[in-house]
Amino acid sequence: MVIQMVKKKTTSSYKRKNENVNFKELAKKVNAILKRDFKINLNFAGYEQTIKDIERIDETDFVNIKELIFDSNNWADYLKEMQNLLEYFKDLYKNKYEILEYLHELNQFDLVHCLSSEDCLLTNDFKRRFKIRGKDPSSIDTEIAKKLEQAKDEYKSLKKFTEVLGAKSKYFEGTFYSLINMYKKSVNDLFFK
Amino acid sequence: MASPPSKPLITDSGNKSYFEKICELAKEYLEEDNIILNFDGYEQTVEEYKSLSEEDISTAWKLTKELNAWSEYFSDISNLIQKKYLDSETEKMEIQAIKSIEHNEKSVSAGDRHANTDPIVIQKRKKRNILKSLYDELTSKIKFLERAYYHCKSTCEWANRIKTSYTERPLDGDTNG
Repeated sequence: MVIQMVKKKTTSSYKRKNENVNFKELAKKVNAILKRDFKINLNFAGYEQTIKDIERIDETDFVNIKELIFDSNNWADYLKEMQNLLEYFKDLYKNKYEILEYLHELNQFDLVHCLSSEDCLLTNDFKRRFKIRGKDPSSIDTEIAKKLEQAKDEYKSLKKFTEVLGAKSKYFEGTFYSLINMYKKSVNDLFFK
Repeated sequence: MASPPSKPLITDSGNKSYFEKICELAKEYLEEDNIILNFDGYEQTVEEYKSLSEEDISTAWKLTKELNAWSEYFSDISNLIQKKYLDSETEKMEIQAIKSIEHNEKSVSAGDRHANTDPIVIQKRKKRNILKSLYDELTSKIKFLERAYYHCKSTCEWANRIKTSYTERPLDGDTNG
Protein backbone atom coordinates (compact mmCIF):
# COMPACT_ATOMS: atom_id res chain seq x y z
CA MET A 1 0.00 0.00 0.00
CA VAL A 2 2.78 2.36 1.01
CA ILE A 3 4.77 1.46 -2.10
CA GLN A 4 1.76 2.12 -4.31
CA MET A 5 1.28 5.56 -2.77
CA VAL A 6 4.92 6.46 -3.25
CA LYS A 7 4.79 5.31 -6.87
CA LYS A 8 1.69 7.40 -7.52
CA LYS A 9 3.35 10.49 -6.06
CA THR A 10 6.47 10.04 -8.17
CA THR A 11 4.46 9.69 -11.38
CA SER A 12 2.34 12.78 -10.74
CA SER A 13 5.31 14.93 -9.71
CA TYR A 14 7.17 13.80 -12.82
CA LYS A 15 4.21 14.78 -14.96
CA ARG A 16 3.98 18.18 -13.32
CA LYS A 17 7.69 18.75 -13.74
CA ASN A 18 7.55 17.76 -17.38
CA GLU A 19 4.73 20.22 -18.04
CA ASN A 20 6.54 23.15 -16.45
CA VAL A 21 10.10 22.66 -17.51
CA ASN A 22 9.90 23.12 -21.28
CA PHE A 23 11.45 26.58 -21.34
CA LYS A 24 12.09 26.66 -25.08
CA GLU A 25 8.45 25.89 -25.97
CA LEU A 26 7.21 28.42 -23.46
CA ALA A 27 9.56 31.09 -24.82
CA LYS A 28 8.34 30.43 -28.37
CA LYS A 29 4.71 30.67 -27.27
CA VAL A 30 5.21 33.93 -25.34
CA ASN A 31 7.28 35.36 -28.20
CA ALA A 32 4.43 34.66 -30.65
CA ILE A 33 1.84 36.27 -28.33
CA LEU A 34 3.92 39.43 -27.74
CA LYS A 35 4.92 39.75 -31.37
CA ARG A 36 1.29 39.52 -32.47
CA ASP A 37 -0.02 42.08 -29.97
CA PHE A 38 2.87 44.47 -29.20
CA LYS A 39 5.63 43.77 -31.75
CA ILE A 40 7.91 42.71 -28.91
CA ASN A 41 10.44 40.02 -29.75
CA LEU A 42 12.36 37.85 -27.31
CA ASN A 43 15.98 37.15 -28.11
CA PHE A 44 17.99 34.35 -26.50
CA ALA A 45 20.93 34.31 -28.90
CA GLY A 46 23.91 32.77 -27.11
CA TYR A 47 21.94 31.50 -24.11
CA GLU A 48 22.32 27.77 -24.79
CA GLN A 49 26.00 28.19 -25.58
CA THR A 50 26.59 29.94 -22.24
CA ILE A 51 24.75 27.19 -20.34
CA LYS A 52 26.85 24.53 -22.10
CA ASP A 53 30.05 26.44 -21.29
CA ILE A 54 29.08 26.70 -17.62
CA GLU A 55 28.36 22.97 -17.46
CA ARG A 56 31.72 22.09 -19.02
CA ILE A 57 33.90 24.55 -17.12
CA ASP A 58 37.23 23.32 -15.85
CA GLU A 59 38.79 25.03 -12.83
CA THR A 60 42.22 25.25 -14.44
CA ASP A 61 40.84 26.98 -17.53
CA PHE A 62 41.49 30.59 -16.47
CA VAL A 63 40.56 32.21 -19.78
CA ASN A 64 37.12 30.57 -19.93
CA ILE A 65 36.35 31.17 -16.27
CA LYS A 66 37.16 34.84 -16.73
CA GLU A 67 34.89 35.08 -19.80
CA LEU A 68 32.09 33.23 -18.04
CA ILE A 69 32.23 35.59 -15.05
CA PHE A 70 31.40 38.47 -17.42
CA ASP A 71 28.79 36.46 -19.29
CA SER A 72 26.95 35.21 -16.22
CA ASN A 73 26.74 38.72 -14.79
CA ASN A 74 25.46 40.08 -18.10
CA TRP A 75 22.94 37.26 -18.55
CA ALA A 76 21.62 37.76 -15.00
CA ASP A 77 21.04 41.43 -15.82
CA TYR A 78 19.60 40.73 -19.28
CA LEU A 79 17.07 38.14 -18.08
CA LYS A 80 15.97 40.44 -15.26
CA GLU A 81 15.44 43.26 -17.79
CA MET A 82 13.28 40.95 -19.87
CA GLN A 83 11.36 39.77 -16.81
CA ASN A 84 10.60 43.32 -15.68
CA LEU A 85 9.34 44.34 -19.12
CA LEU A 86 7.15 41.24 -19.37
CA GLU A 87 5.69 41.87 -15.90
CA TYR A 88 4.09 44.98 -17.36
CA PHE A 89 2.58 43.10 -20.30
CA LYS A 90 1.52 40.24 -18.03
CA ASP A 91 -0.91 42.50 -16.20
CA LEU A 92 -2.41 43.70 -19.47
CA TYR A 93 -3.25 40.09 -20.29
CA LYS A 94 -4.64 39.60 -16.79
CA ASN A 95 -6.86 42.62 -17.34
CA LYS A 96 -8.01 41.28 -20.71
CA TYR A 97 -8.92 37.99 -19.08
CA GLU A 98 -10.78 39.78 -16.26
CA ILE A 99 -12.83 41.85 -18.73
CA LEU A 100 -13.74 38.79 -20.75
CA GLU A 101 -14.70 36.97 -17.57
CA TYR A 102 -16.93 39.89 -16.66
CA LEU A 103 -18.55 39.84 -20.10
CA HIS A 104 -18.96 36.10 -19.88
CA GLU A 105 -20.74 36.42 -16.55
CA LEU A 106 -23.00 39.09 -18.02
CA ASN A 107 -23.78 36.68 -20.79
CA GLN A 108 -24.63 33.97 -18.36
CA PHE A 109 -26.97 36.04 -16.20
CA ASP A 110 -28.18 39.05 -18.00
CA LEU A 111 -27.13 39.18 -21.59
CA VAL A 112 -30.42 40.36 -23.02
CA HIS A 113 -30.65 43.09 -20.40
CA CYS A 114 -27.08 44.11 -21.03
CA LEU A 115 -27.58 44.40 -24.77
CA SER A 116 -30.64 46.59 -24.40
CA SER A 117 -29.95 48.65 -21.25
CA GLU A 118 -27.60 51.58 -20.67
CA ASP A 119 -24.73 49.10 -20.16
CA CYS A 120 -25.08 48.38 -23.86
CA LEU A 121 -22.65 51.15 -24.79
CA LEU A 122 -19.97 49.62 -22.59
CA THR A 123 -20.56 46.16 -23.95
CA ASN A 124 -20.49 47.36 -27.54
CA ASP A 125 -17.15 49.00 -26.89
CA PHE A 126 -15.74 45.73 -25.54
CA LYS A 127 -17.32 43.79 -28.37
CA ARG A 128 -15.40 45.96 -30.82
CA ARG A 129 -12.21 45.73 -28.78
CA PHE A 130 -12.26 41.96 -28.52
CA LYS A 131 -13.59 41.52 -32.08
CA ILE A 132 -16.75 39.68 -31.04
CA ARG A 133 -18.73 39.14 -34.23
CA GLY A 134 -21.77 37.22 -32.95
CA LYS A 135 -25.18 38.89 -33.10
CA ASP A 136 -27.51 36.75 -30.98
CA PRO A 137 -26.92 36.06 -27.26
CA SER A 138 -25.99 32.39 -27.62
CA SER A 139 -23.36 32.91 -30.34
CA ILE A 140 -21.89 35.88 -28.39
CA ASP A 141 -21.76 33.66 -25.32
CA THR A 142 -19.91 30.88 -27.18
CA GLU A 143 -17.50 33.35 -28.74
CA ILE A 144 -16.72 35.05 -25.42
CA ALA A 145 -16.22 31.67 -23.71
CA LYS A 146 -13.69 30.71 -26.41
CA LYS A 147 -11.85 34.02 -26.17
CA LEU A 148 -11.89 33.81 -22.38
CA GLU A 149 -10.21 30.42 -22.50
CA GLN A 150 -7.55 31.73 -24.87
CA ALA A 151 -6.95 34.85 -22.75
CA LYS A 152 -6.62 32.70 -19.63
CA ASP A 153 -4.12 30.45 -21.36
CA GLU A 154 -2.08 33.44 -22.61
CA TYR A 155 -2.01 35.05 -19.18
CA LYS A 156 -0.93 31.77 -17.57
CA SER A 157 1.88 31.36 -20.13
CA LEU A 158 3.17 34.85 -19.45
CA LYS A 159 2.94 34.36 -15.70
CA LYS A 160 4.83 31.08 -15.88
CA PHE A 161 7.43 32.53 -18.23
CA THR A 162 8.17 35.60 -16.09
CA GLU A 163 8.64 33.32 -13.07
CA VAL A 164 11.05 31.12 -15.03
CA LEU A 165 12.99 34.21 -16.17
CA GLY A 166 13.37 35.31 -12.55
CA ALA A 167 14.66 31.88 -11.56
CA LYS A 168 17.10 31.81 -14.48
CA SER A 169 18.41 35.25 -13.60
CA LYS A 170 19.04 34.04 -10.04
CA TYR A 171 20.84 31.00 -11.44
CA PHE A 172 23.25 33.25 -13.37
CA GLU A 173 23.71 35.45 -10.32
CA GLY A 174 24.69 32.39 -8.28
CA THR A 175 26.97 31.17 -11.08
CA PHE A 176 28.70 34.57 -11.13
CA TYR A 177 29.69 34.30 -7.46
CA SER A 178 30.69 30.61 -7.76
CA LEU A 179 32.91 31.39 -10.73
CA ILE A 180 34.56 34.31 -8.92
CA ASN A 181 35.33 31.97 -6.02
CA MET A 182 36.59 29.30 -8.39
CA TYR A 183 38.87 31.82 -10.12
CA LYS A 184 40.15 33.11 -6.79
CA LYS A 185 40.92 29.58 -5.62
CA SER A 186 42.63 28.61 -8.88
CA VAL A 187 44.82 31.76 -8.85
CA ASN A 188 45.68 31.03 -5.23
CA ASP A 189 46.61 27.41 -5.99
CA LEU A 190 48.69 28.36 -8.98
CA PHE A 191 50.64 31.30 -7.61
CA PHE A 192 50.72 31.00 -3.84
CA LYS A 193 51.02 27.29 -3.03
CA MET B 1 31.33 32.05 -24.66
CA ALA B 2 28.41 34.27 -25.54
CA SER B 3 27.20 37.50 -24.06
CA PRO B 4 23.49 38.41 -24.33
CA PRO B 5 22.45 40.68 -27.20
CA SER B 6 22.89 44.34 -26.26
CA LYS B 7 19.94 45.66 -28.33
CA PRO B 8 17.51 42.75 -28.76
CA LEU B 9 14.31 44.68 -29.51
CA ILE B 10 13.67 45.45 -33.16
CA THR B 11 11.47 48.55 -33.42
CA ASP B 12 10.60 51.09 -36.12
CA SER B 13 12.85 53.65 -34.43
CA GLY B 14 15.86 51.34 -34.33
CA ASN B 15 17.06 48.54 -32.07
CA LYS B 16 16.60 48.91 -28.31
CA SER B 17 17.37 47.14 -25.09
CA TYR B 18 14.52 45.95 -22.84
CA PHE B 19 15.61 48.55 -20.30
CA GLU B 20 15.23 51.31 -22.88
CA LYS B 21 11.76 50.01 -23.74
CA ILE B 22 10.71 50.16 -20.07
CA CYS B 23 12.01 53.75 -19.85
CA GLU B 24 10.15 54.64 -23.05
CA LEU B 25 6.86 53.24 -21.73
CA ALA B 26 7.28 55.05 -18.40
CA LYS B 27 8.26 58.35 -20.04
CA GLU B 28 4.72 59.75 -20.51
CA TYR B 29 3.84 59.17 -16.84
CA LEU B 30 7.09 60.64 -15.56
CA GLU B 31 6.76 63.72 -17.73
CA GLU B 32 3.53 64.54 -15.87
CA ASP B 33 5.78 65.36 -12.91
CA ASN B 34 8.55 66.87 -15.04
CA ILE B 35 10.86 63.93 -14.40
CA ILE B 36 13.27 63.25 -17.24
CA LEU B 37 15.44 60.15 -17.08
CA ASN B 38 19.02 60.65 -18.18
CA PHE B 39 21.39 57.70 -18.53
CA ASP B 40 23.99 59.30 -20.78
CA GLY B 41 27.29 57.50 -20.43
CA TYR B 42 25.88 54.39 -18.77
CA GLU B 43 26.06 52.27 -21.90
CA GLN B 44 29.67 53.30 -22.44
CA THR B 45 30.64 52.28 -18.89
CA VAL B 46 28.93 48.89 -19.30
CA GLU B 47 30.65 48.32 -22.67
CA GLU B 48 33.98 49.17 -21.07
CA TYR B 49 33.27 46.69 -18.28
CA LYS B 50 32.32 43.97 -20.80
CA SER B 51 35.62 44.38 -22.64
CA LEU B 52 37.80 44.63 -19.53
CA SER B 53 40.98 42.59 -19.64
CA GLU B 54 42.35 41.13 -16.41
CA GLU B 55 45.82 42.61 -16.93
CA ASP B 56 44.48 46.13 -17.36
CA ILE B 57 44.57 47.23 -13.72
CA SER B 58 44.22 50.94 -14.44
CA THR B 59 40.94 50.44 -16.38
CA ALA B 60 39.65 48.05 -13.71
CA TRP B 61 40.43 50.66 -11.03
CA LYS B 62 38.77 53.42 -13.06
CA LEU B 63 35.73 51.18 -13.57
CA THR B 64 35.35 50.46 -9.83
CA LYS B 65 34.90 54.17 -9.26
CA GLU B 66 32.55 54.63 -12.23
CA LEU B 67 30.41 51.59 -11.43
CA ASN B 68 30.11 52.67 -7.82
CA ALA B 69 29.06 56.16 -8.89
CA TRP B 70 26.47 54.70 -11.29
CA SER B 71 25.13 52.47 -8.54
CA GLU B 72 24.62 55.51 -6.34
CA TYR B 73 22.97 57.40 -9.22
CA PHE B 74 20.58 54.51 -9.91
CA SER B 75 19.72 54.35 -6.19
CA ASP B 76 18.77 58.02 -6.27
CA ILE B 77 16.46 57.56 -9.25
CA SER B 78 15.07 54.32 -7.89
CA ASN B 79 13.98 56.03 -4.67
CA LEU B 80 12.24 58.76 -6.60
CA ILE B 81 10.51 56.24 -8.85
CA GLN B 82 9.49 54.19 -5.82
CA LYS B 83 7.64 57.21 -4.48
CA LYS B 84 5.86 57.71 -7.80
CA TYR B 85 5.04 54.01 -7.96
CA LEU B 86 3.56 53.95 -4.44
CA ASP B 87 1.55 57.11 -5.19
CA SER B 88 0.18 55.54 -8.36
CA GLU B 89 -0.74 52.41 -6.41
CA THR B 90 -2.76 54.52 -3.95
CA GLU B 91 -4.36 56.43 -6.82
CA LYS B 92 -5.36 53.19 -8.53
CA MET B 93 -6.83 51.71 -5.37
CA GLU B 94 -8.81 54.88 -4.73
CA ILE B 95 -10.30 55.02 -8.22
CA GLN B 96 -10.98 51.28 -8.20
CA ALA B 97 -12.82 51.52 -4.88
CA ILE B 98 -14.93 54.47 -6.07
CA LYS B 99 -15.89 52.69 -9.28
CA SER B 100 -16.62 49.51 -7.39
CA ILE B 101 -18.98 51.27 -4.96
CA GLU B 102 -20.63 53.20 -7.79
CA HIS B 103 -21.52 49.97 -9.52
CA ASN B 104 -22.44 47.74 -6.62
CA GLU B 105 -22.64 48.86 -3.03
CA LYS B 106 -23.56 45.46 -1.60
CA SER B 107 -21.21 43.00 -3.28
CA VAL B 108 -17.50 43.90 -3.22
CA SER B 109 -16.47 41.22 -5.72
CA ALA B 110 -19.20 42.16 -8.20
CA GLY B 111 -18.23 45.83 -7.84
CA ASP B 112 -14.53 45.02 -8.31
CA ARG B 113 -15.22 42.96 -11.41
CA HIS B 114 -17.04 45.89 -12.94
CA ALA B 115 -14.32 48.33 -11.82
CA ASN B 116 -11.72 46.24 -13.66
CA THR B 117 -13.46 47.02 -16.93
CA ASP B 118 -13.52 50.78 -16.38
CA PRO B 119 -11.17 52.69 -18.75
CA ILE B 120 -9.98 55.05 -15.97
CA VAL B 121 -9.11 52.12 -13.71
CA ILE B 122 -7.32 50.41 -16.61
CA GLN B 123 -5.31 53.57 -17.25
CA LYS B 124 -4.33 53.91 -13.59
CA ARG B 125 -3.43 50.25 -13.49
CA LYS B 126 -1.16 50.64 -16.52
CA LYS B 127 0.57 53.59 -14.90
CA ARG B 128 1.10 51.64 -11.66
CA ASN B 129 2.43 48.62 -13.55
CA ILE B 130 4.97 50.42 -15.69
CA LEU B 131 6.25 52.40 -12.70
CA LYS B 132 6.57 49.16 -10.76
CA SER B 133 8.47 47.57 -13.66
CA LEU B 134 10.77 50.57 -13.85
CA TYR B 135 11.37 50.54 -10.11
CA ASP B 136 12.13 46.78 -10.14
CA GLU B 137 14.40 47.26 -13.13
CA LEU B 138 16.35 50.06 -11.44
CA THR B 139 16.74 47.88 -8.34
CA SER B 140 18.11 45.01 -10.42
CA LYS B 141 20.44 47.42 -12.25
CA ILE B 142 21.85 48.47 -8.87
CA LYS B 143 22.50 44.80 -8.08
CA PHE B 144 24.17 44.32 -11.48
CA LEU B 145 26.39 47.36 -10.88
CA GLU B 146 27.31 46.10 -7.43
CA ARG B 147 28.33 42.73 -8.87
CA ALA B 148 30.33 44.43 -11.61
CA TYR B 149 32.01 46.65 -9.00
CA TYR B 150 32.93 43.60 -6.91
CA HIS B 151 34.30 41.90 -10.03
CA CYS B 152 36.48 44.89 -10.99
CA LYS B 153 37.68 45.29 -7.42
CA SER B 154 38.61 41.57 -7.29
CA THR B 155 40.40 41.90 -10.65
CA CYS B 156 42.55 44.70 -9.19
CA GLU B 157 43.27 42.66 -6.07
CA TRP B 158 44.26 39.52 -8.02
CA ALA B 159 46.46 41.44 -10.42
CA ASN B 160 48.17 43.31 -7.57
CA ARG B 161 48.71 40.12 -5.60
CA ILE B 162 50.26 38.33 -8.55
CA LYS B 163 52.43 41.37 -9.32
CA THR B 164 53.60 41.60 -5.69
CA SER B 165 54.33 37.86 -5.51
CA TYR B 166 56.65 38.21 -8.54
CA THR B 167 58.55 41.14 -7.08
CA GLU B 168 58.87 39.44 -3.69
CA ARG B 169 60.12 36.14 -5.16
CA PRO B 170 63.91 35.69 -4.65
CA LEU B 171 66.13 35.85 -7.72
CA ASP B 172 67.67 32.60 -9.07
CA GLY B 173 70.83 31.75 -7.22
CA ASP B 174 70.20 34.31 -4.50
CA THR B 175 70.30 32.04 -1.47
CA ASN B 176 70.01 34.90 1.02
CA GLY B 177 66.64 35.89 -0.41
